[in-house]
Amino acid sequence: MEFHAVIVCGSGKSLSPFSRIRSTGTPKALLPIANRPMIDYVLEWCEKAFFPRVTIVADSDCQEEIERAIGNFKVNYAKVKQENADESGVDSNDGHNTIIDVLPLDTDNTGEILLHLYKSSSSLDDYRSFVILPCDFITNLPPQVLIEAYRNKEDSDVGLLVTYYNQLDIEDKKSKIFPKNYTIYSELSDGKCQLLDMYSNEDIDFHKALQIRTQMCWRHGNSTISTKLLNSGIFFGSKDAIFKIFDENPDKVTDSYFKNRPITKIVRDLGRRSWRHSSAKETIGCIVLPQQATFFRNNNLPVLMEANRYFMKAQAIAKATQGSGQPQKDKTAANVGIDSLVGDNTTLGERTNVKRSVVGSNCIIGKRVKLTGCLILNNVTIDDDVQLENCIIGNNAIIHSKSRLTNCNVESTNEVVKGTQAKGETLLCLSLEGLVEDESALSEEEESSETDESGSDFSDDYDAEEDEYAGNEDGLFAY
Amino acid sequence: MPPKNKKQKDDVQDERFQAIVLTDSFQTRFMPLTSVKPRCLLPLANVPLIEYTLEFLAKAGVNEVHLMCSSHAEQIQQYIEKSKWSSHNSPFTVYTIMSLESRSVGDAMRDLDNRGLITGDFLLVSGDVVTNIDFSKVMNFHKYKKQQDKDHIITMVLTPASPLHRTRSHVDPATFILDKKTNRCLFYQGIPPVDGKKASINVDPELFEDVEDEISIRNDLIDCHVDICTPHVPQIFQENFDYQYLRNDFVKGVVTTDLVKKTIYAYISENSSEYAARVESWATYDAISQDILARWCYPLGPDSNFVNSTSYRYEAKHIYKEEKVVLAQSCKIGTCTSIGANTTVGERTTIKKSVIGRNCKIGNNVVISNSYIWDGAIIEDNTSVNHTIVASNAHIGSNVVLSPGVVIGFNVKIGNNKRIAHNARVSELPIVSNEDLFDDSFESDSENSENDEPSTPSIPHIDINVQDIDLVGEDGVGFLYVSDKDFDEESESEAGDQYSGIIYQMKSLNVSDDSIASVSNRNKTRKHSRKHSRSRRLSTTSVVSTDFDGEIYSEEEEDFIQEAVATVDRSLNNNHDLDTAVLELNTLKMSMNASYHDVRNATSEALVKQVLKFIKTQTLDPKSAAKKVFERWGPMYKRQIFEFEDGIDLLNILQEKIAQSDKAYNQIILFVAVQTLYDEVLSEEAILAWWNSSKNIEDENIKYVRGLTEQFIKWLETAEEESEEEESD
Repeated sequence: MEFHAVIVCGSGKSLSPFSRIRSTGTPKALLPIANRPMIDYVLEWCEKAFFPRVTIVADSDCQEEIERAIGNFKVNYAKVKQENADESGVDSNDGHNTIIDVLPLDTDNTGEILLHLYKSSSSLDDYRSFVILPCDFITNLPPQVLIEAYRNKEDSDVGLLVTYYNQLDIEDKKSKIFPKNYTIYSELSDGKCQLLDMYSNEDIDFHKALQIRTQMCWRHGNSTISTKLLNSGIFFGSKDAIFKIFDENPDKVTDSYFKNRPITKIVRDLGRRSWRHSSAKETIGCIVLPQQATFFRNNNLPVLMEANRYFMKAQAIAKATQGSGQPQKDKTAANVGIDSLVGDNTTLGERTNVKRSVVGSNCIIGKRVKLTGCLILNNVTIDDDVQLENCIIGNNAIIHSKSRLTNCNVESTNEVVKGTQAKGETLLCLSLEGLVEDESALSEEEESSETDESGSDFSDDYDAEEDEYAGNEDGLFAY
Repeated sequence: MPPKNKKQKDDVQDERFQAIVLTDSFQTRFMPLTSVKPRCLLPLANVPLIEYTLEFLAKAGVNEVHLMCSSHAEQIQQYIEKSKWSSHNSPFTVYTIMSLESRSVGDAMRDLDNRGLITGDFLLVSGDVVTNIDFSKVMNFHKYKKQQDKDHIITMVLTPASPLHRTRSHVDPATFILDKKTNRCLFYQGIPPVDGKKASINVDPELFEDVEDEISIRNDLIDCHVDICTPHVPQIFQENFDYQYLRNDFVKGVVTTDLVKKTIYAYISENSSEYAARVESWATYDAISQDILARWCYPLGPDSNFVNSTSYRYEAKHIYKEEKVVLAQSCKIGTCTSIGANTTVGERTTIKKSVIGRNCKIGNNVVISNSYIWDGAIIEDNTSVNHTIVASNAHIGSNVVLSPGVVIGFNVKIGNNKRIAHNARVSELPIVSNEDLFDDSFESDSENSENDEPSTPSIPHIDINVQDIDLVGEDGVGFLYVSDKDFDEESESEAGDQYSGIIYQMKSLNVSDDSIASVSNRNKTRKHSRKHSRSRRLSTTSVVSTDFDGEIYSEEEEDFIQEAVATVDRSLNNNHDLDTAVLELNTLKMSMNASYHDVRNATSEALVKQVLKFIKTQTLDPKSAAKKVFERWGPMYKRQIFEFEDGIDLLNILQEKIAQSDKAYNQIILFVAVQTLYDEVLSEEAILAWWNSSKNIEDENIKYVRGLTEQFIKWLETAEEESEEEESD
C-alpha cells in the first residue's frame, strides 16, 4: 500500500484565545469552520485521496475530543456517501475503508512525529510513503493532483514539499498573517522544481542579510528566491529513501535533532543536503499549487475568519443561483442573510439581524441583535441590543445587553458586562492562569507567526548550524 | 536658447552610435606573453583577438569606435592604422585614444569622461570579446527598459551556460541576482571558484523590498563584458573615484547604494545559437579556440576570413587550411584543426584539435594535440606537444616533451631532448621586476581591490625569474617565468581538486593570475591576524556579535572600518546634521556589506577619538568633552541598535576603546558616555546586562576604566529596586 497519511494537530498558538493554548479553548483541530470542525475538511480530503491509513497526531489531552469528532465525521461521511450513492445509483460500498487512528504524542516540535514514524517503521510496515498533513488546511484541489505530482517526481527526489500562494484578500501589514519566508528553489527543465533552501524572516533579521551559499550557486546555476511562497505543511515522503538517509547519518540525526525542530526544517535540511556535498545527493521536490485551486491554512485568526466567510460566500452564491430566496416572513422575526449560517438549537430574538456570520449551535441570541461578519461558537448567550462586527465569540461566552464590539475576540466562557464598548480588543477571562499564560501566549504570537512551525529556538538552532558549516574544513561540507 | 540646444543634442545622438573598446584588460593573466604583445593582439585561431571585437561592432551598427589603449598602445595604434578598419570602406571610423595613465577600467572611464567624447548611449566592450549575438535585440531591450525605467543606466549582455561551462570564467566567477520578472540586477557578487572555499553571498534583504515576486540567483551566465551604457556611467565613475572595476565596484556599488538611485538591467540571450565569451584566461582562450573551430560561433570562423589577408578554406571534419600548406603524405590531420599558409608538416606527424599559424615548420613524428602554435614557430622531429601554447617564432628542438599547461613565449628556444614540466611558462627575456617604478600605483590598487586583477597588464611586479639552462638546454634561449601565485597554487589546487574532473582540462593552465596572488596572500595573513584579534575580543566580552561573515571577503570589513571612521570624522568636524551622518554611514555599510557591529565599532572609534582630541588640545575638560560629543552624536547609535544584544555589544566596544586611552581621565569618559547614552539609546536592562556580563574580566585596563561607572550602575540598580517596590505596593 502506498500512503500513510499523518495529520498533525498543532496547538494553534496563533489561534489563541480560542485554541488549547488557553484552558478554556478548544483543540485547534476542532475549531469550527462553517460549523464543522476544521479537521473534518482534512479527513474528507483524505477520503477523496483513498489513503489506506490515516493517523492523527495530537496532544494526549485532546485525544478523546478528537476521537469523538472522528466518530461524528465517520457517521456523517457515511451518510453523505450513502446519499450520493442513492442519487447516482452506484453501490456506496466501494470497498475502500480508511483506518483512522489517533496517536497521542505530547511534543513541541513536529519533528518528533517524524522520529516516531522513523522509529516505528519496520519491514512489516507495508506503506511505502508517508504524507504529512496539517490539520488546518482547506482546499478544493483534488488530492490526486498532488499524488500524481509525487509519483512523477524526479528519480533523485526523496520527498515533495507543497507550497502555495496566498489567495485570500486580507490586508497583511508587516507580513504578520502570512510569514515572509525566503524559499529558494531551482526549476528543472521540465517545469518541476527542487527545494534548495528556506529562510524565515526571523533568521534574515538575525543576520541582517540573506546568506546565499556559493556552493548552492555552483550546484544550481539558476535558482529562484521567492518571498511570496507559503509553506502548506503538506509533505510527501518516501519512507525507504528518507529513513535510509537517517540511517546513514546517525551522528547528525539524533533524537534531539528531531525534538528541536519542526518537520519543515528537517525537510529544509534535506534540501540543503542535496547540494552541500561534493557529490549530488538526494533532492527534495517542490510543487507550487496551481493558482486555480483554492488553498488556505487556518493557522491564525484572520484566516480562520476569512475561511468562514469563504464558505458563507459560496453558500450565498449557491443559494442565490438556486433562487431559494427567503420566504417573506414576519417583519418582526429575526433575519438571517443567505450569507450566514446558524447552528442547531439556536434561538434568535425578534428583529435580530445576522449578516455574513456563522453562529454555532445551542446559542441564545436576544432581540434587536446585529451580527455582521462574526464568528460565534457554540452555547453563546447574547443579550438584547448587542451589536457585533467582525468579532469572534468563544464557546459559552455571555455578552450582556447593549454591548458594542468591533473587531474583538472574546474568549470562551468570558462574560462581557452590560454596555461594553470595545474596538480591536481581545477580551480574556480574568483568571490567574490567564495572567500567567497570557504573557507567554502573546510573546509566542509575536515571534512565531507561523503557528506551530517555528519554535522559539529558531535562532539558537541556526547558530549551531552555522558553526557546523564553518567547521567543515574537509573541502566540502561533511553532512 | 535651451530648447534648440536640446534638439541639436538629440540629433547628434541619433546620428552616431559610439563604442568604447577597452583594449586593455588591466590584468596579467597572459603573462609572459603580454609583456611583448597586448592581449588584444594575441592570435586566436590565427586572427588577432581585437578583430573579433571589431567585427562584432561592425555588425552591431556602430558608427564610431574609440579604442582606449594603455599598455603597448603604440602597437595597437600601428595595427589599427594598417588594418582594414582604417580604410575608406570601413563601416565605422576608428580612433585610438592614448590613455596611458590608466591602471584600471575605472581610470579609463574617468579619462573618457574628462575627454568629453561621449555624446549618447554607447557600447562598452573589452577588446577580447568573441560573439555573434544579434545586437539589435539587445538595443531594443535597452531602449524598452529605458522607457520603463528612467534610472536605467547599463544593460549587461549575458548568455546562459552551465555553471562550469568551459567558456565561462573560472578565474573570477560571479553570481548575478536579478529580479526574475524584469531582469533588473539587484546584486552582484564575485564568488570563490567551485573548488574554492565555502562562502556565502550576503544580501541585504532591503534590496529585495521592491521586488514584486521572485528573485533569481544566476551563477550560470557568461559575462562577456558587453554593456550598453548611458552617459551617466562615466560620470558616476568620475564621482566615485575609488571605483576600479566595472563589475565588482561599479555594478555592485550602483545596485547596493541608495544614493545613486540608478538601475542596471541584464539582457539574457534566449537564443541558444548565440555565442558570447571573453578571452580572459588560458582556460577561456582554449575553450573559445575550440568553439571557433567547431563552428559554435558561426559565422565567426577561420573560413569566414574576415581579416583580409587570410584565405582559409573549410574541409570536412572541421579542418581549415590556408593556401600553400605543405603536408607530408604520411601525416595525419585530425578534427578541429586549422593550419596557416606556408606551414610545412613532416612525415608521420599527427595534429588534432590544434591551431597552427603561418610559416611554421613541424618536423617528422611530431604529436600535436589541443595546442596552439603561433606564426613562425618551429617544432623539430619527435617532439610531443599537448595542451600547450607555443608563441610566434619559438623554436622547439627535437625529442622535446611539452607537458600540459606549458606556455612557450615569443622567440624562446628549447634545446633538444628537454622535458618541460606542467604549467611552466618560458619567456625569452627575464621579466624585469618594475616594482619600484610602479610601487605607488600598486599600493593603492592592492588596497582597494577586493579579489582580483589589479592593474598594469604588461608590467609584472613580483616575478621571480629563474635563468635555467636545465630548462631550455645549452643552446636554448629562455627564462622560466614564475609568478608568486605558483608557489602556493600547488598546495591549494591539490586540496581542492575534487572538481578537476568536471573542469575542462586546460584549467590547470589557467589560474595563475599573479596580481591576484599578491593581493590574496597579503589578505590571507591579514585576515588571520584580524580573526585572531577578534576572537580574543569575543572571548573577553562574550558577546553575541554578528561574526558570521568571517569567511566572506573579510578585507572589506577592514576597509570598512577605516572608511567608516573617516566618514564619521568628517561629519563631526564639518558639523553635519545627524541624519546626513547616519545616511552616509548606512550607505557605506550597504555598499561594503558590513555588519552593524562594524558600524558601531567605527562610530565608537570616531567618537572616542573626538573626545580625546578635545581633551588633548585642552579645549575642554574630560567631563564636558565626553558630554558634548556623546550628547550631540550619541543618537547616531539609535539607528545602529535594534536588539537587546546590540546594546551590550556597543557598551563592550566603548569600554574597550575607552580603556585604551589615558588613565588620567578614561574613567570619566566611560562614566559620562554610559550616563549620556542611558535612556535615549540604551535601556537600563542592557546597561545592567553589560555590566554583569563583563564583571569578571581580568584585564587591568578594563577593570580600571569601569571604576567610576560603578557608581552609576549602583544608582541604576537602586532606582530599579525602588521602582519595583513602588509597583509591588
